[in-house]
Amino acid sequence: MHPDPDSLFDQADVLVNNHKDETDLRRAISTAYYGVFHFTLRALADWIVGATHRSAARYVLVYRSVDHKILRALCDQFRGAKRNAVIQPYEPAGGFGPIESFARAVLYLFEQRISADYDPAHSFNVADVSSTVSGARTAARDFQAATPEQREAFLTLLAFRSR
Amino acid sequence: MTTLRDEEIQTIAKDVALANAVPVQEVSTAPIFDSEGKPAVEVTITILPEQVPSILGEPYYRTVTGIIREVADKGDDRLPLVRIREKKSAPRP
Repeated sequence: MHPDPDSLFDQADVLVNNHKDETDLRRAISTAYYGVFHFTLRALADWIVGATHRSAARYVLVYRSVDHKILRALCDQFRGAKRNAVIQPYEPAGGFGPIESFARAVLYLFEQRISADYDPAHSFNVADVSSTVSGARTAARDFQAATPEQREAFLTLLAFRSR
Repeated sequence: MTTLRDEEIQTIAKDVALANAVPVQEVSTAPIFDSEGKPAVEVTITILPEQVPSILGEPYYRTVTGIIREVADKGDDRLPLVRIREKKSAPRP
C-alpha cells in the first residue's frame, strides 16, 4: 500500500502543533510535500491502472514511473497563464482550470521541501510552516476540483514525454 | 526575459495577498537561488501573529500561486518563493 496522502497531511499538522524544535518544523514541510507527491502518484496510477488494482505489479510500475524531478519539470511549465508549445496541444478546450494553481503549488512545495531538507542556512518559523502545510492540503482539494478532462490532461503529460 | 524591480514584485505580492484576504503588514524581497541553482526571488510577507489562523488554507494558497502566476506573466523567469513571517511586537517602554 502506498503512503496515504491524508495521513501525511495529518502527520505534518502534528509535527507543527507539537514541535519541539526547528527539526520538527522542517519535517512538517517535507511531510506536507510528500503528501502532495503521493497524492499525485496515486491519482496517476488510479487513472491508468485503476484503484481496484493497487496491489498489482503494474500499479506499482506506473506509481514509480514518476520521480520528483519529472513532477517539478511539468509543474514549472504552468507558472504563467499562457501555455507553452509543449503543453498547449494537450490543453482541454476550457483550459486546465484548477490544475494550473495545483501545479504552481506543487512547484512551490517542492522548493520548500528542498530548503527544509537540505538548506541549513534557512530558518523556518511556525507561521510559515503551518501556512505551507495548509497550502498542501488545499492543493490536493484544488486538483480534485478540476474536471476529469483537466486532471487526465495533466496526468497524461506527467506520464508521457512529448517528442 | 524581464527582471522586475524589487518594488514591482513587492507591489504584486501585496496586491495578490490583499485580494485573497491576507492582511499584509509588510512585503520584502531578496535574491535567492531555487533548487536548480537558478536565480529566484524570496518574497517575505509579514503579518500580525494573531492573523496567522485566518490565512491558512485558501487565502495562503491563492496568494502563493497568484504571485507565481503574476511574476511569470510579467516575463520574469525567477521563481518567487513566498515566506510568511509574524510581525514582532514593539518592545514595551
